[in-house]
Amino acid sequence: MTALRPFTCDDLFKFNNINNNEYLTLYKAYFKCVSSYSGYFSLTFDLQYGIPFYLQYLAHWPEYFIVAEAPGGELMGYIMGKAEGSVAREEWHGHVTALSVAPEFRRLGLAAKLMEMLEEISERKGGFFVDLFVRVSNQVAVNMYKRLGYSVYRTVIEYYSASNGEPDEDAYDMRKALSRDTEKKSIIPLPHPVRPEDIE
Amino acid sequence: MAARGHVQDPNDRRLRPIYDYLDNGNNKMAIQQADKLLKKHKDLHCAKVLKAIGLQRTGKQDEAFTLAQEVATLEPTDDNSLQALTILYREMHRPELVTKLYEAAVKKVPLSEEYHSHLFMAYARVGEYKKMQQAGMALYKIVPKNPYYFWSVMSLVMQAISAQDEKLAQTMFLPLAERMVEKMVKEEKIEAEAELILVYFCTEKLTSELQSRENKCMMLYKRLQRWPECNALAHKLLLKNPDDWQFYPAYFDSLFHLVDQSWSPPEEGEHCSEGSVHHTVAEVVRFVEERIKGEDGKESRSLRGPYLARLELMHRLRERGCPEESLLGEPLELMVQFFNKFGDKPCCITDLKIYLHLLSPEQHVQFINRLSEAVPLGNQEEEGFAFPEDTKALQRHLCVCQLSRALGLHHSLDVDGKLHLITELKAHYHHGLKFGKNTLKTELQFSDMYCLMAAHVYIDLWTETGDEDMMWQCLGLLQEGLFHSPSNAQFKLLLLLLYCRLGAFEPVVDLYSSLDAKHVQHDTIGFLLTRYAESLGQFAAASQSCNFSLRFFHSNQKDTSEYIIQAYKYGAFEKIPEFIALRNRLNQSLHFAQVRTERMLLDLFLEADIVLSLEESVKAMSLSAEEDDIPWDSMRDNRDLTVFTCWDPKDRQLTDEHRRQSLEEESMWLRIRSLTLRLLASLAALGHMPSQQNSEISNENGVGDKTSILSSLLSQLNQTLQTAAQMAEKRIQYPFLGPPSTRLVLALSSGSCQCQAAALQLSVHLHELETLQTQICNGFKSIVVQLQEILNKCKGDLLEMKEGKLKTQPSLLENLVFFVETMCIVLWMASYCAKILRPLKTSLQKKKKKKKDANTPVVMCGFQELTGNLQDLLTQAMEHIKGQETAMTALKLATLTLEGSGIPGQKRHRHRKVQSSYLRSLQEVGDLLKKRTETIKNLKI
Repeated sequence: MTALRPFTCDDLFKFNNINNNEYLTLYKAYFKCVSSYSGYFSLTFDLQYGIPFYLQYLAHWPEYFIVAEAPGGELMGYIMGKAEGSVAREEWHGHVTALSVAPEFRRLGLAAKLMEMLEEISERKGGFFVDLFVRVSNQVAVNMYKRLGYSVYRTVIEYYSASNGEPDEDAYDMRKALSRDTEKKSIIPLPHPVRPEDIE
Repeated sequence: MAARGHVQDPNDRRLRPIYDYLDNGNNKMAIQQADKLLKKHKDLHCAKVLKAIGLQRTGKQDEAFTLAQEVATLEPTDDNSLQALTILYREMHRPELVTKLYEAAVKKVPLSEEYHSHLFMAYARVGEYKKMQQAGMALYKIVPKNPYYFWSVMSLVMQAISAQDEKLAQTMFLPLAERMVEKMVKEEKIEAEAELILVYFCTEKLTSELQSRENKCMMLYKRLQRWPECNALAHKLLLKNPDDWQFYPAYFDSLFHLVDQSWSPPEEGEHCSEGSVHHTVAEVVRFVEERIKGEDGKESRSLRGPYLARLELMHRLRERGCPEESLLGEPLELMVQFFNKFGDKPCCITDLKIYLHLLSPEQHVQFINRLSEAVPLGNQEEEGFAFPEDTKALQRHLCVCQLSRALGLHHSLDVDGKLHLITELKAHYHHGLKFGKNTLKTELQFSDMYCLMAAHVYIDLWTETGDEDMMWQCLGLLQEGLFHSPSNAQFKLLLLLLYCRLGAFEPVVDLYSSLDAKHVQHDTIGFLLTRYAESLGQFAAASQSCNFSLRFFHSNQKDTSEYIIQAYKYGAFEKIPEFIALRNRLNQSLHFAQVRTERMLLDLFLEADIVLSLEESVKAMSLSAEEDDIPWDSMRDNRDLTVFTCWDPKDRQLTDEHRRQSLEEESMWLRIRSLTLRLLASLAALGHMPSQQNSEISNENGVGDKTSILSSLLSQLNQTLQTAAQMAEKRIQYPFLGPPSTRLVLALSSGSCQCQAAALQLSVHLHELETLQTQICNGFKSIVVQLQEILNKCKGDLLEMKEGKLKTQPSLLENLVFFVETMCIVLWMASYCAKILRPLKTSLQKKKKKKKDANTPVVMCGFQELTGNLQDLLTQAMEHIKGQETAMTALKLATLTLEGSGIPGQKRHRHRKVQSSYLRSLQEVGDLLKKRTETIKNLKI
């Protein structure tokens, strides 16, 4: 019971009700992709990023930014991602940057549907796999991604920086192979954890 | 800093330390280093620009600009200088100068792809679409790359979109763009999907729906009103995915269009290119019923789509008065069925809420009873309430509560009924907490909504009976809720609103900052802060609130331009108009205009003639009386007026009429404030005039011009005040959770607007000193009377104890702030007056020596009387404040001694928060008044 459509700038004005549901949270390596902006974690509203961050994604990967709308016009949730990596090294892939569902629209399978869309787009773009980062402690999210066919590719040590008195936390880098990766080489787990500076 | 590519260049080596200093924020060292370098290498222009950047960043804008222009007039073509100047101009918010820079550069180096592309981007930053089109073509001629060609095409499309003249767009820009694209298609040069989208743009001016072919087709069919295709495609897609909501409205719309057109399928062959068409209501009803059967029979969980679609269809049939509605069944039964299936989902309420009007009022109670039967509850416990035993049951029970509220069943209860309801909701809230013992701090409690709803019932009681105790209880309940669920934004928002209504701004600051509002939210909910901070006398907090918003709006202008350019670079053409629309929406924001105006007024009230003179303050703000920078005709109301969760029935909800009235009221108040501000600027400009001439004849040396601006603004203000008075008479009431009223009504009833206008009027009369002496003196007297009246309206107890209950009167505080504001304006007028009278007096004294019989003019005495009276008023006001402070502190003791006599500790805590906030407001107002008293001394003539 959802209408999925591309995210538009006007949606930014309607964002006051989507709470963070921690399917995915931010990672400290933001400055890697957005030089001047460091995002941080919001406990209440889900506009965690600055406007430039959203515009950056809209300008660069508009097709990867999808919002779900309820029949009454309320925003139910959104997914935001990008395509990156080298094709030659078979690392061209879709990445999930943010996935969020408002509290009253949870347990409806919406996250799964949004993930499916992102995978479909990544397939169309000829990606080898889709990946995402998630807090090790976020068991709800990890289990959900496992149900959707993702597996832990590697652990990234202290990927999430400390906030609100919580210590640094490790992340799982989870992946799901797409059809182009016929042998599923991209998801063979690494034997050792890596540090944030070692990831691309 | 970007320009450090070519290491081999010796200049780069020389400049590097300066770049490093600038990067590290060490601007002083950067300036020194640049000076050193310039001594040796006079012609190293870039060093000059870098120095200018250092100057700009240390607040020496004028010097920086002069230095930059020295280099710019030389029309530099070296990369370093150009990039440094670009950075500098951007920091100066003068992007238009960048275009000049690169225009000169491409003239000198006509074949540079890089400079041409910089020029294009510079135009893009300022939105010069025509020049962008030319620059794009120029680039393509130098380097025939596809993107450059399409940059040019897109710029044509932008000209069409932004054209004032629709005809010009349709007959010139779009056809031209279309031809340009066709040319590329014919030559088979199209490379990217985005380029294809431009083809759509040109022909249809569509905003593209990127997702799937189906979506695009559907949109095209709708736009072209090809209802058979639309209908056929919709039902085909719904067969595939019966839960996709976007296709149901299209399916139903197309049906009704077909019915209206009495469309019938062709005798032979396919109905249309998309397949068979459902052109009768019966067919559509059958189709929806079949989808539902499909869901009913499914092993896995059912999807909500088809069930909701049935309600939607019923709603539409009823709207059209179609008897076929009955084919679908009885709405009550259908909704009960929906509840049985989906009642345990939190979204059930949002789904059903939009169809409640399908029930007749007599059915409401029956409906709720039927639903209650389907809520599994445990055995009754001590208070007679039965509770759900798991979260699913809780969700169902909560949904019934929400629906009863939405049907108005809470509102129709009497006071005792409401109090009982509150007890019940609270019991459910406390019981439900046990399900969320292990939830994370960031997660909400399952039963939070009970707490919020109980708070709403308290508010109902407060607003209906005026019993303030209800509100204190409500505050306590919400605080408790926040304790158990620290990230619940709704609790924070409602607390924030209640404290504001109580006139206690102090606790609001922390609440708002814990909401962690970001960027657009400063625009959408920032009004909650800015409406109250200043009006409640919390000036420091008011400044800060304005600054939050202003910082966001200013950075928006830079950020959006940046991403418009990125969108060109990545070829995301369909996003370009969207980004531009976003920039405009923010630039034309009502809230932006308000914080701009209020921030300047506040600065004047707090500092003009205290820190700097009024003239200097106005100059520092580069405030001009002539210029009106508020986009009155294209103002955008970006406030999110539905940010509060609300289950009120339709007749109590915020309507479009409310929204319109609220915007009208806000604009009216903004107009008054903005005119006041410009009048002050114009008063300051008068004060700037050489004082000798003022006293003599007003028409010389441009004084006449200045007074004519003053008079014209004044007559605008008076007109606005008249309209405003009519508006205030209507006493518009918004729903409690809707937009707050502006300060307008109180400003008029306190008399402060009128007194301010009168004071400013006097400054015009002063120019006809000779003829209007008596009138001016009467003016002085009348202003004193008016000020006294405002002050009288501040008197009374802000906080008092009556029969063991606390009573608040926040409007007294608001009036006190109006008194201060008005006093400031009167004092500025008086100070201007003194400037005029002083030379007059000197010349009189000279004359006096010659002629003994020359009398002191009436106006002199009048003025002295005025300053004396103002002094008295200020003393009176400060005594009043001191009295309030003492009374309130004494009250604190009184409250404390009440311990053990019924007031529980929690409540005392809330009382103290309000008390402490009041004291702070009083102190800030008192401080300002004290400073103003000092300025009276300067009024001696």
